[in-house]
Amino acid sequence: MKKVFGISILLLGGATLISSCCLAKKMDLFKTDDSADYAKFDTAN
Amino acid sequence: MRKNKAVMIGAGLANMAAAVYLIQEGHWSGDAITFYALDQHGSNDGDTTDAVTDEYWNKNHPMENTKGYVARGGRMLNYRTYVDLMDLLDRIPSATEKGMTAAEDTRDFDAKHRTFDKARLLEGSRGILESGKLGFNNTDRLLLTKLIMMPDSQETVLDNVTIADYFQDDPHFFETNFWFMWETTFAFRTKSSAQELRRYMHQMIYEFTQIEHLVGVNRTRYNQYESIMLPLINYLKEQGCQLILNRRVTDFIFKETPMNDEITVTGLKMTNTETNEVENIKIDNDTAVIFTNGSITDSATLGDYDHAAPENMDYGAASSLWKQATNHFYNLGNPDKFFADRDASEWVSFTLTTKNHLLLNEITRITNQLPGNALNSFISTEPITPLNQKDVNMSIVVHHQPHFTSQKPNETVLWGYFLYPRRHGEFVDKPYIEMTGKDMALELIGQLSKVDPGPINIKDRQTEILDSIINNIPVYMPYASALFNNRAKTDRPEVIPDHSTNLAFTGEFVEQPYQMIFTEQSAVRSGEIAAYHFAGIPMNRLVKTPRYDKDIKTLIRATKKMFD
Repeated sequence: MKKVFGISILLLGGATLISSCCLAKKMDLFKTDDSADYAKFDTAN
Repeated sequence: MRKNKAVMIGAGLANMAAAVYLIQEGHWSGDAITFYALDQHGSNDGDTTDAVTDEYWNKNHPMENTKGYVARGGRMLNYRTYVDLMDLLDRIPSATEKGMTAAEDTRDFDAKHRTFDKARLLEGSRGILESGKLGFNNTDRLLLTKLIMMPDSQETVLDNVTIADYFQDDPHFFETNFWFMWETTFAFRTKSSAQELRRYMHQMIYEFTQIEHLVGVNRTRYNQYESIMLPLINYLKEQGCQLILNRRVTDFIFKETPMNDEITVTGLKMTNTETNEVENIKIDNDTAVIFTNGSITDSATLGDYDHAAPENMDYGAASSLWKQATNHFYNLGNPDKFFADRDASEWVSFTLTTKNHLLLNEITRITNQLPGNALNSFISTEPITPLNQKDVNMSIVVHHQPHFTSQKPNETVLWGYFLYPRRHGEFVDKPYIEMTGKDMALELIGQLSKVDPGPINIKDRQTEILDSIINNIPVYMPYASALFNNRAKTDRPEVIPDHSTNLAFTGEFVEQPYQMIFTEQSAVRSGEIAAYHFAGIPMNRLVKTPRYDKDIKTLIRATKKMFD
């Protein structure tokens, strides 16, 4: 019984982690460096 | 392309910021920079009424009563997110506090006068509302969450979507305390851009969690002109910059190329507004042209205590020049989106000067708010919107006194505005746009009387209060919220448009990553980008932008706040 409970918790935790990571990726939360967005304004010469 | 000289069209914050960065980071000589502008007081204004009556937009509408003070608008700062502005202010001396930079000046003042709004929303028969209860239902929360979750890369999904469109299936949103506070804090209208709303939700996500008390608001010691513009003007003049006023630039002269895909300015045509003489100046290969392509105070007019502000139908000086440029090139945006739809952008403000503290004390008594740094909005008694809902009638800001350095100790200056100037007053039966300064004062007293806890109602002191008024200046601004007008991403030119060799765009009508507009922050950043480009400084040296919209703790707090 304890084993089943433990595995369930692990699976639930894993699912939550994966969903959170997917959500964070969708929201671009991992992109913290926006310098590439400004590169187009760099002087050509 | 790198340049060594610059002509600035417009002498507002964005171009002044560009000049500071060119001098300090680009090591340019100040005398390599020339400004052409209509007048001294743009959007970051504030002065005695007398000082501005002969300025470009005002001199065709002479005023009888030029006493008192006028500031067409006012700005709240946010140190947390206005990082470019604070960087700029750290580089120049204060105009009023010896030995301090302009940044130290505002920080010093703000630390001693922290904003904590106790009466953000007021409503007749209910008094001061518990505005921390945002009033959302689940549909409101879902729609706002979608905006917060939308990454920068997807914001074009909101091209040509107004706030009214976005919430069209959720009219309840417009009856929430959140909307009342949001629209009046930032001057969003229902026809404003949902794309811009999204940017605000991202950049101001931290302040969303404390919106009812405006705890995150920081203020300058005095009005915007004396605390922000004058330090810049003083510094740049000392550096040798030329500031040539009373010039309206009417035409760019562009280099002709076979495919018309090179944007190179070779000359400028301008009118001397004092003499009406037309002047032509050549732009050589070593000169950048940095152009602020729109002003929210263009075509603004003033009234006085006994006269309403007349309507000026001019398209606008900066916007007319922008339009002329777009006749040559396809990638410079669409000024008509911002300057051909006044219904989406107009509002009326007023600056009220009194000879004693009577009105101030009454407002303090009614709002429980000491003067300085609050924003109070009065909700209508009856439904007044096309959706048959209540809405905010008027909002006021009672500044810390004095708000102007020349103000006498007994005088009071306060500011207010009507976001929808064609609506009727509740106490003066006229559209706000037709109201004199006296009418607006009566309307203010009426709104205060609705929420007055007593025992003596402010209306009983109306005569005394009116006697104390030196002047009340209505200001009509057709383009006050034009920068929020509904748009697609391509409707604004980029700071450095593709194919441009010497022309940059700055200010509140340009496209740059992430920034929300109607802030001094975005104006400064656009000037910074333009300066770095022409000085050959890499963009990775720009001031780092904090991203609270990617901070998990902030997002959790914001989520929790939605359920308040």
